[in-house]
Amino acid sequence: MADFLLEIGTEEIPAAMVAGLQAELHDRLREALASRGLPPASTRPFGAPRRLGLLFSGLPERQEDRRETVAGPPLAAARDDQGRWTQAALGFARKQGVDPAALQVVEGPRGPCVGFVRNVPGRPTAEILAEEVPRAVEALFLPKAMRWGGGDHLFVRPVRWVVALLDGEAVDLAVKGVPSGRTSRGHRIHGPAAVELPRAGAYFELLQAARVLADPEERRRKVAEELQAEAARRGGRVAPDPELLDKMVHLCEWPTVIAGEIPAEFLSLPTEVLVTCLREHQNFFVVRHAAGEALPAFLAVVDGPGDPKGLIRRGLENVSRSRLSDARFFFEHDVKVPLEDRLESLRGILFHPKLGSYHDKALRMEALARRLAPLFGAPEDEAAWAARHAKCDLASLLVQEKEFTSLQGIAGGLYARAQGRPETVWQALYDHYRPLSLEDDLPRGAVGAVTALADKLDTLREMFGIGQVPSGSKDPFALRRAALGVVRILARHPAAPPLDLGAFLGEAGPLPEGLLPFLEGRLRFLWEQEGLSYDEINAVLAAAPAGSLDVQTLTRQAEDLHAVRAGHAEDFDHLAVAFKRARNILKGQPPLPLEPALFLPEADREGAGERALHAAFEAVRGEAEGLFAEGRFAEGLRVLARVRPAVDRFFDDVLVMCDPEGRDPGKSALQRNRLALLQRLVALFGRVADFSEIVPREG
Amino acid sequence: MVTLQDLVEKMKGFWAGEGCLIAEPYDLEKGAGTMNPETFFRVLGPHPYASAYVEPCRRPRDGRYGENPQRVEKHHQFQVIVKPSPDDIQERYLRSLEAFGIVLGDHDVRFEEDNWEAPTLGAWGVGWQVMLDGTEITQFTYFQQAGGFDLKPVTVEITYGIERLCMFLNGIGDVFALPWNERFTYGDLRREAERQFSVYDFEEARTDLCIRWFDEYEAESRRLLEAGLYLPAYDFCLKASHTFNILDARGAISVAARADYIKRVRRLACAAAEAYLNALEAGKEARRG
Repeated sequence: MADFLLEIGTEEIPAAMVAGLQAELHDRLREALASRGLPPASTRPFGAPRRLGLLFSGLPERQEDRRETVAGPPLAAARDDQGRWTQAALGFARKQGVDPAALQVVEGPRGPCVGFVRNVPGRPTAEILAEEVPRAVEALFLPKAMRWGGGDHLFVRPVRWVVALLDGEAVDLAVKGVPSGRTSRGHRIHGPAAVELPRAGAYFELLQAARVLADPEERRRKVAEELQAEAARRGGRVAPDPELLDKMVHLCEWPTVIAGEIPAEFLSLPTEVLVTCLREHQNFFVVRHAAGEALPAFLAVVDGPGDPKGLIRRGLENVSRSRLSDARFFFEHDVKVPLEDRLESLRGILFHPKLGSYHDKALRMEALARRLAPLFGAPEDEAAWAARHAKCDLASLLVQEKEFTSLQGIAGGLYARAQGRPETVWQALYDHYRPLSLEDDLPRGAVGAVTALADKLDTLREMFGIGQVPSGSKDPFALRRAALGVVRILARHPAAPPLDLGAFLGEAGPLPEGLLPFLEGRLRFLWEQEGLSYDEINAVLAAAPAGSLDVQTLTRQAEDLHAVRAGHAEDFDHLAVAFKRARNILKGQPPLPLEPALFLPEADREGAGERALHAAFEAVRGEAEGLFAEGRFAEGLRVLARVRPAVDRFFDDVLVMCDPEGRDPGKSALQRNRLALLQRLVALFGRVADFSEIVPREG
Repeated sequence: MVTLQDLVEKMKGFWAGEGCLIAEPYDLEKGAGTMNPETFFRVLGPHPYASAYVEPCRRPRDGRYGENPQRVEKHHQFQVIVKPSPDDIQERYLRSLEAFGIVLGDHDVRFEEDNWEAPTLGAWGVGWQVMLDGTEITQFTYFQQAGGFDLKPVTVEITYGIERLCMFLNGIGDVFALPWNERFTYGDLRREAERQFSVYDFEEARTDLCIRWFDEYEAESRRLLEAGLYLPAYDFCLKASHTFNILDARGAISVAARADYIKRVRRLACAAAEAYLNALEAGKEARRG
């Protein structure tokens, strides 16, 4: 067993690309080696600004020998009547360089052929590596490729050195025209220019001594620990920011956290503006109190062992001072302009060429908010004002700076607060992009929910109206996020009423094609993320009336179905089987009248069966319908579960389709009556879910 | 203290020592050192070349009437181009910083992705902005295309912001306080010019004239191209480009019209590049290097 080290030394790879390339190189090479009979026992990929690579451990030293069957001409042409090999067969043997005595009958792709079996000796692992490494590198997906020097090679950045070691032996190969060796390089500034590697397994240790943590997980751990320790020393903490952390991990080979001062004069800036400014311009983490406001300290990640002379800190503080001055200039200027005065400027900001300006959007949002407000119990004037002015911050200097675009909405909320708007209103502006993800908080308050919903519903309706529909990975207007926001607000916001989106959106004009199914798709996604199983989801959505989508009611149905099923697993499995049968035999049947007088007598086995089901149905119907009408789906389902024994018995004892050909009028009437009974039963369950969609869990 | 003129001397000395021809600025208004024919044309074609020069750059939109300590209408770049890009070019660049007096081990040096693009020149490249303790001091680019042509071999372009680097070396946050030499500050030489050009660019420039000039420069450039005079044609392309920048600063160009103006300048630049390559092939241009 051997260790294999591959290190591709490059100039600085863009931080956002390191992780992807590292993973893809590892996966490709591991699969390639496995397919050639050389699976590594364990693997450790690595990647840093100046290197991509991997350490494979427990590799076989060579492939195993194997036997290979070579097929020639078909038997009909290869053997004559006497069973002797023909000229064709002998020619085949000559061409293959085997003794005719070795020929035998083998199974070819189109039947028996002449052929032979040969022994293929396994090749040394080093040879296979020399073939597969360049191939794996050539196959890497490069989001942006470049040429350098003579221009003969394409890669993410110029390749400057390559290390390929199988245990202590150099593997002779070349990557992008650079021949491999056993010399790596240390940290660009703080490490030696050359690091000789005696054997593959020593890589991480020797690189660490050369001030390179090649494994990104080690760098991540170091940065995360130092951030928390430095923040704690200042009596605060750093809000989790995985995106920025990831960026810093891939910008440094030896990351170290150092601290600096935010000049007190800037602490009066809203924390959101301060944090965004230092994050976007400088990649700083801001130390905060538990309550969230900023302490006068930032934490920066530098690439090297630290800042013993304090020069880096001084430089960083100087740069941040000029950045913060800009931010303060913008914010102080913006706060002085009343949001109402910005409404006109929205005419000059395009929402979409076919959908007009943000001014048009603001007016549409206001109309939606006026309709939504009474449903949410929100004061109509507040909701209307918030919706009309939610986009006004797009015209402010701050939000127009590219580093601060992420503050849209938030900035408007801050201006509105400074301009004396009530809390419900400024929070509605502040929160109206929320929720931005599955985990993000919902907008605060009823006015907030209405404003956020008005924005998202308008965007969805208008974009679908012009056929701007997401497809595959293309979703330039983030409509999936908007739709997920809509369903989360309607399903989870405390002020949200049960609201049928089909009817609500349909009132204001025809519903754009595909919009309702798209929203339903996001609802399905939400439920899946919350742990509902696909068959429960299918069952609830299949039972929903066409053209409607009451997110909140459906969600309660789905959750209740899930909860009740957990306690009645066996009943549900049986009911699922029964309902599948019912669905098949009810297919294409018109609504049929039920006449209890037509049931066969109790003494008859079939009669007893159908009477028992009818009795069970009648026994639960009133109670269940009452519970469903009150939205108490779980209790209603538990009541319904009681019919299970009668359903089982019915399908065991009663032949529903007793006159499939319609030949006997008496039997036909019996059959119609039994179908009518099933129709009623299915309809009652169907208030919550189509049970035929449930997939039984027990064999 | 490091004066601006000392720094420039060190830059020239260092890169001359690396084998670069030391060229002079080109005597027309332009937004970046890349637009100097010394870069624009020399990156084309197969012949090795290396040069370095100071280039004054005018960006009308960046003018702040001489009142913003970090933004100016006119600044100076130190431009280095080497074709083909040497294997150790990053190391040479870092040595240049040391030659200017920066002890690298005391600072945080980082190469952060920044891909450069000049749509008016049909040019783009891949590379980094070099960050020194959080200040961007250099744009480092491997040219991939110029004048719409794929480049092979590839030229590396190193563009130092002279003022930025000098401010860093002196620990000064105000560009106008930089020492130009022992007697004069940057402000002594430049502040009044900043004020006047800002007034011109933002307030006084006559847009009707600029629009006419743009059309005329473009027409003249085309005429000269047809006459086979691609070097003067490129001059008029540069004049058109700068006129467009004034119109842009003046707020006289709508979003839709902007793209059209850029396309018109690019067509001239690409045509000049093509004519240059044809001349190279015919042996009319000096094959340097």
